[in-house]
Amino acid sequence: MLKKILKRLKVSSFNKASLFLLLGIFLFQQFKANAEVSAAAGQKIYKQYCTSCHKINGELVGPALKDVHKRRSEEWLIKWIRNNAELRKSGDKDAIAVWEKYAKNEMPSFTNLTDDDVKSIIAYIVQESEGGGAQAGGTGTAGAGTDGAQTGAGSDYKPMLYIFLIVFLAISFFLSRIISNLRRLSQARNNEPVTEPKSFVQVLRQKNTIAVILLILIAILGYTTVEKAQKLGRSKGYAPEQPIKFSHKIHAGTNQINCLYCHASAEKSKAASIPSVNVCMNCHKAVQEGRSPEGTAEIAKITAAYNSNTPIKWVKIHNTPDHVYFNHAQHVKAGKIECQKCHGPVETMEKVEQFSSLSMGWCINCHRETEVQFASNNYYSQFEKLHEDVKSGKIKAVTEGMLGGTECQKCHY
Amino acid sequence: MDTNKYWKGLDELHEEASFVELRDKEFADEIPVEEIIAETLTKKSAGRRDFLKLMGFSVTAATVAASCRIPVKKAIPYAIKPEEIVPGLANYYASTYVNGTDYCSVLVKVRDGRPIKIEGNNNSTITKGGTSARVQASVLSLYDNRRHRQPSKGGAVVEWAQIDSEITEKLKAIKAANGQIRILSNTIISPSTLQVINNFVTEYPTTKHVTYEPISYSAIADANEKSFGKRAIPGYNFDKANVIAAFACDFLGTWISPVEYTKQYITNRKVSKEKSSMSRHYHVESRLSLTGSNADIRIPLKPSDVRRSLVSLYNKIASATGGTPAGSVTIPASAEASIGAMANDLLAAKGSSLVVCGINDINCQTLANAINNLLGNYGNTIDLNNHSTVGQANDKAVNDLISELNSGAISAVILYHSNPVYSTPKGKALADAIKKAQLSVAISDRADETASLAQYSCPDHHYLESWNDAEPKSGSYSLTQPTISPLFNTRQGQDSLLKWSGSSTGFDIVVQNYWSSNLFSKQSKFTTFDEFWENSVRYGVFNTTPATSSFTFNGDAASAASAVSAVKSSENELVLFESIAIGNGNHANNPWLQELPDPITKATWDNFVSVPVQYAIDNGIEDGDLVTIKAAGSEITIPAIRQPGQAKGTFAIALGYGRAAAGPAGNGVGQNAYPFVGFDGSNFSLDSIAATLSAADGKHVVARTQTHHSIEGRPVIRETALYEYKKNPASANEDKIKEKEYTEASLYPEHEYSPLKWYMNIDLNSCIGCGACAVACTAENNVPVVGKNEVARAHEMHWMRIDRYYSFVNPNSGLLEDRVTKEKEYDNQFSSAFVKDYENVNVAFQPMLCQHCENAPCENVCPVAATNHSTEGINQMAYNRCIGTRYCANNCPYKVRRFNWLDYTTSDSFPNNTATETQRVGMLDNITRMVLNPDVTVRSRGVMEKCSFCVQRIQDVKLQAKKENRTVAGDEVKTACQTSCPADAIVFGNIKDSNSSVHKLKADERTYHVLSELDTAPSVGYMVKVRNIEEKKSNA
Repeated sequence: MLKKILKRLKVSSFNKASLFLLLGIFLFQQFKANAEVSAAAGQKIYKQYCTSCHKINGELVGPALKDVHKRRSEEWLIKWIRNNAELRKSGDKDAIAVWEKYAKNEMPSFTNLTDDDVKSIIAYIVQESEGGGAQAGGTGTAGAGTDGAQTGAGSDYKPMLYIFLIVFLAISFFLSRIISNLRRLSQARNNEPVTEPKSFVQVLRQKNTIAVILLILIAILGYTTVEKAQKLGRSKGYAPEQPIKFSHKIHAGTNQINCLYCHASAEKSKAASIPSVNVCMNCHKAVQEGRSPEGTAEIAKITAAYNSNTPIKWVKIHNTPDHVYFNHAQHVKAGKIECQKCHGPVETMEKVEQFSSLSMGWCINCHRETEVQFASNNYYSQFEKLHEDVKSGKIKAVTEGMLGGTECQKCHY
Repeated sequence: MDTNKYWKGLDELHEEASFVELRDKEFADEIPVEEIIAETLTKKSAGRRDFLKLMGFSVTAATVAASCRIPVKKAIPYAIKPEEIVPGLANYYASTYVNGTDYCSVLVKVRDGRPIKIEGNNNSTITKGGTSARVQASVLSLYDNRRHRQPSKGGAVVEWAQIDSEITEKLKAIKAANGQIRILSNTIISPSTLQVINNFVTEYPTTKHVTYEPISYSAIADANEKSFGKRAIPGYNFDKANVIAAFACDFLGTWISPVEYTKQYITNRKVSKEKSSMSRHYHVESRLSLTGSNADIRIPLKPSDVRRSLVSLYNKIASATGGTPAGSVTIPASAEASIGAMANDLLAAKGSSLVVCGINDINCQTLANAINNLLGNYGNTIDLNNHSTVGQANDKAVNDLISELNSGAISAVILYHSNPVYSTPKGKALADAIKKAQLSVAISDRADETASLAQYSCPDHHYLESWNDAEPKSGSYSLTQPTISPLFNTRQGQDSLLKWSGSSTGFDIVVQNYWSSNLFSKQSKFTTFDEFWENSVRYGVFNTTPATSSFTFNGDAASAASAVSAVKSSENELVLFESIAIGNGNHANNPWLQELPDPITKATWDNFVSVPVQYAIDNGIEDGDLVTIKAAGSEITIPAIRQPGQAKGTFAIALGYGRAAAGPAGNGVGQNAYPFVGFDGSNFSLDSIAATLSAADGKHVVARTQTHHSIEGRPVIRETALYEYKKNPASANEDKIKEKEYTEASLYPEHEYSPLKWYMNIDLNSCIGCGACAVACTAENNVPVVGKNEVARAHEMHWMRIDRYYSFVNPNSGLLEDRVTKEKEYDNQFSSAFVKDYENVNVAFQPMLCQHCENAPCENVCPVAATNHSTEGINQMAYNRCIGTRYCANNCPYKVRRFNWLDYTTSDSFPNNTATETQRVGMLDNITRMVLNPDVTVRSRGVMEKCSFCVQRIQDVKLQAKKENRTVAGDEVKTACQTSCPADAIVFGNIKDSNSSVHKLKADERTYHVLSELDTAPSVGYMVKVRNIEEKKSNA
C-alpha cells in the first residue's frame, strides 16, 4: 500500500529513506506527550493562530515564514510571537524593522502560548521549510478529500447498475428470441402448426404486457412520489448567491485558515455563527487587494460594512426545521467531528452549497454509526456497563446510538 | 393511612350536575364527528359531490403547500460583535426587580440580546434566590406592545427635546410665581432616585414629594412611629419564629415582601428525621388567603371580629406577662378558645414567636406591637434596625393632595409611576382635579387611567432596560442593570427629572456616584471603586451592617385596644385584598399573570365577590350568579363565587381588576373595587367595610380550573400531624412498602436505564401554592396563553398546575383524629350539620406535572409512537410526530397532557388561522414573541404537549459536562419550576447518583408516589404534608 503510494509519488530511493526517517520521527513525536515540543503540535497551533496572516511560502499579511528559523534566533522568535509590542518597545531593531516593513500592522500578542508552544510552531516551520512535512500537510487535506471521494464512490454504483440492467435486458431479449426461434424450429420438426412471430404492436396489445407495464408505471410513480415527497423542504445542493462573493476555497483551501478561526462559536455554542465583520477585518485591514479587480471590489464591501457599522445580510444555507434542535458544540467540541463530515469539502468550494441532505434519516444514520469519544471523555466514565462490554469484547466500540442517540428528545424538544 | 376526604370544589363535593357531566367526559367539548357524518349520510345525493369537493380541496392544498418555494432565510451576524456575546449561548446578568413595594434580586437570562427568563439571585441575603409569579412574568411585560412608544404632548407625538424645553420653561415660570409643585410617586426604594427627586426639590423648592401605594402599609409605619419613634416597617424574621400568629396578614402571598418571608418561613417548616420540629402557624382571617391556607390552625372570623380578636389576644398576653389588660371584648366562643391556645403557645415561645397583623389600621398595628413587645420579640424575630424601606406611602398625604388639587392650589403635578385615578376611592374626582393643574406630566410605562389625563407623557424604560439601585432593607443594596437596548423611544424617568432640574448628568452616573460616595467606603474588600463597582454589578447585591440603636416601646396599648374594640360591626362586611398574580392592578396587562389560576379559587381572567358557602346556600346563590354589592356609597355588579373557609358575614373582592386603560389583556377584566376603599382619617382601610349584597339578573362565567382534570376522589394527597410523624416517620405513608409489591406484580418488562435517570421530588409540606413555578414553566417552555373562553372550556395549557384540595376540619378541635374521612362519611359517623361546616376547611396544595412514569399508560396507546420512553427515564413527546389522536391524554391518570386545540402561537402553516383570544391579548405580536425560548419548539395546532422535565436544561448540562471532560453531578440540572420556587419545595436530579439529593429523598419515609397502586412507577415523588397541630388529650 505504502509502496504504491510511494511509487505514484515517484520518490527517489534516497528521498524514500529520508521520508521514512521523517515519518518515523513524526510518528515517534506523535507518541510523545502533547505538552512537549513537536512539529505536529506546532502544526495544530500554527493552523489555529498563524494561518490567517502568514504562509510558509509567500507573503500574506505578514512575511513568509519559510526558513524564519535561519533568519532569527529561537529566543527572539519566542519573544516576538508572545508579545511583539513589548519587544518593539524594548528597542529591538529587528523587531521595529519588521513592523515598519509590513506597514506597521500590529501583530496580536499571544501571551497564552507557552515557550514550548512557540518552539513547536518553529519545529513545524522547520519541517515545512525543509519540505519534509509537505506530505503530512498534503495528506491532511487529501484525507478530507478522500472522505468526499468515498461518498462520491458510494453513489457511483448507479451508472454501473444501468449498464448491467441494459446488458441483462439485451441478454433476455436475445434469449427470448432464441427460445421462440427454437420453439418454432421444433414445431416445424414435429410438423405442428408454426406460430407466427407476433409483431411489436401485437405484443404490446397483449393483456399480460399491459398488466406488466401498468405495474411498472405504478411502481415508478409511487417511487417518484415518495422520493419527491421526502425531498420536500430539503435543499441539498442549495448554493444561493451571497451578498459578498466570499470564497471558502481561497480562505480555507489555499490559505489554510482554520474553520474555527472564523466560526469560533461552533466549539462553544449551538450556532456555528457567521463571523462578524470585525473578524474579517482582522486580516482584511491589511489584505485590501484581491487576486483580481473583482476580488478587490468584494473586499471593499467588507471595509464599507465595517466603516459604516452595518452587518452583512448573508443568505442562510443550512436550515433545519423549527422542531429540530441541533447543537454545533455537541458535535464539534464533544464529538470531535470534522466540519467536512456534514458540510463537505468546503475548502474546495468557491461558493458554498449544502452538501448533506440534513434529513432525519441522514442524522440518525450517523448517530447509529458514529463512535463517541468514549475512552477519552470523562463524561462517559459513568457508563460502567458499556465500559465492561468494551473490555470484555462484547462490543467493539460505543456508538452514539448505544447511548440513546436515536431517541426523540435528543433532537426534538 | 390517610383517608381524608379531599375535594377540589363544592361542585365536586356536592356532585353537581355540571361537574358530573364534565367529570364523565375526558374532553370538555366533543368534536361532533357523528353529527357531521350523519348529516352527510342522510343527504345521499350530495355525498359523492362532497367527497369530490373535499378531495379536490385536499389535493389543491397539498399541491400549493408542496409547490411553495423554501423561503430564503437570512443570517445576519453582528457588524462588530461584543466580546462577551456568543451567538446561541445565554448570558446571565444580575439585576433587581422593583415594582412599587415588590422587590426581588434576580438574574436575567439574555439570549442573543433578548431577555427571555428571570431567575432568582442566590447572592441576595433577602430573597435568597426565590422568585414570585410576578417576578417570573415581568420579562413578558418588557415586550408589552401597549407600552408607550414615544413621548407625547396632548396625545400628539413630540420630540424629547421639545418636551424638555417646554416642561422646564413651565416649571421655571411656576417656580417664579411661587406655585406649588407635587411629585406623586409610588414607593421608591432606590436611594439614587430619591437623590434625584431631592435635587429636583432643591431646584424647585415649592415641590413636595408624595408617596402613594394603592395597597399601603402606612399604618404599620405610623404605628411604629408612635410606638418606637421610628417611621418604618421593621424587618421580620419568620425563620426564627417557632410560633407565628398572623391576623389578616397574607405574608406568603402579597404582604410587604412575600418572597423574603416565604424563604424565611419555610426554613422552619421543613421536617426530617434529623429535625423533627417545625413552627406552629396560627392564622386569623376572614377570607381564605394563600397564607391562611398554609396555616396549622386557622381561625375564620369576620373582619371586625379579627380586629377584636387582637384585643382578646393582647388581654391574655398582658395578664400573663404582667402588662395591663384592656377592657374585654366579645368574639365567638370557638374563636375565643383558639385564641387562648394561641396565647399559650406564644407565651411558651417568648422571644421566638411572632405576631403579624395585615390590617392597615394604626390601632391594630399598635396592639400587635404591644403584644410583640410583651413577648420579647423585638430584637429577635422583629428587627427595627434592619428595617424594610417600603413603608414610605403616606395615605393621608395622598388624600390631602386630592383635595389640594381639587381646590386648584397645585400648579404642577408630576405623576411618577402612580395611577391614582384608577386606584384611589376618589379616582373620579381626581381625574377632574388633575386637569386643573397648569402643568401635568406623567412618567409612566403606558397611557393608563391617570397618565392619559396628563398634558405631557414622558414614557419610562422597563426595569430590564434601566440602570437603577435599590435599598429594600436598610443596609442591603442591590443594582438594576440594563439587559437590552430600549425597545421604544423611551427615556428613564430619573433622566427626565434630572434634565428638568437642570442637570446634565445621566442617571447611570448618578447611581455610580451614589455608590462611590456612600457605599464604597462601607467596605474594605476592594481598594478601587472600579473594582467595587464591577463586583457589585456582577453580583447584583451589596450588604452593609446597618447602624444599631435600641428601641423601647412607648405605645399606648390601652387606648389602641379600646379604639379597636369600638370597631363597628355589620351583618356583612367587605374585605378587599391584593390579587396574588396581578397585584394592585399594575400587572393587569400581563397575560401570563391573568391566566395564572388564583391559588385558592383557581379562577383566571376575572375577579368576583366570594361569599361564605353557608350564606350562598341560605340565599340561593350559585357560582357565577351576578350580584350587586353596595358599600361606602358605591356599588358594583359582579359574579359571586362560593368560597369554603370564608368566615360568616364576610364578602371578599380582589383589587386590581376592572382596568380601563391597561391594555388589551387587562381592560374590562373584572370589576374595579377601589371605590369601596375606606379612609379612616389617617390610613386607607381595606376591611370591615359594611356592605350589602343583592341578587342581580344574569350569570357570568368565571373561568376556573379547579375541577378540570379531576382526579376523581383517588387518594393523591397524604398528610399527617407532627406528633404522629415524631412517633412514626412513615405515618400516613404506610403504603410505601407496597410500592415494591406493585412493581413485582407488573406485567411490563423493566426498562434499561442509562447512568442518568431523572427524578423530581416535591415536598408538599414546603409547597405554599403560590404559582411561581407555573409562570416559570410558561416562560421556560413557551407554554401558550389561551384566554378566558378557552380556560372555561378546560383547554388551558399549563404544563405545571397546582391542584388545591379542601378537606373538612372539626371546628371543635381541629385535630387529626376528628378529621372527616371517606370511611367515616360512609359509616355516617357524622351528623349532617358537622359535614356542612364550610368555614373550617384544611387546604393542601399539590403541584401536578407529567410524572414521567416508568410504565407510562400514555406511551402504550399512541398509535404513532410520538410519546415514548427514553433511557434517561423521560417520557418523551415528539411534537412533529404527533397526529393528535389524544389517546394519551385519555389514558393519563394524572391528567397532565395538554392538547393544542387551536393555533396559539402562529406556528401553523396557514396564516390568520390563530386563536382569536390569544391574538387579542397581544401574545402573537412579533414584539411579544421575542420572549420565546429559542431552545424549545413552539408547538402548532393539533399536537399534544406536556412537561418535558426541562429536557433542554438537561441536555445543556450534559453538553457542558462533555465540554469540560467530566461527569454530570447529581444535583447539577435544575428545572425552571425548581429554581423559581421561593419555598425550595422542588428538588430535581439524577436518581442513579447515590450522592444526589433526590436519591436520598426518594428513600425518605415521607416520600410517596401518586397512584402508585396503578404501578405507573412515576419519576415524581411527593412528600407527606405535616401539620403542626396539638395531639388530642384523652377525653378532653
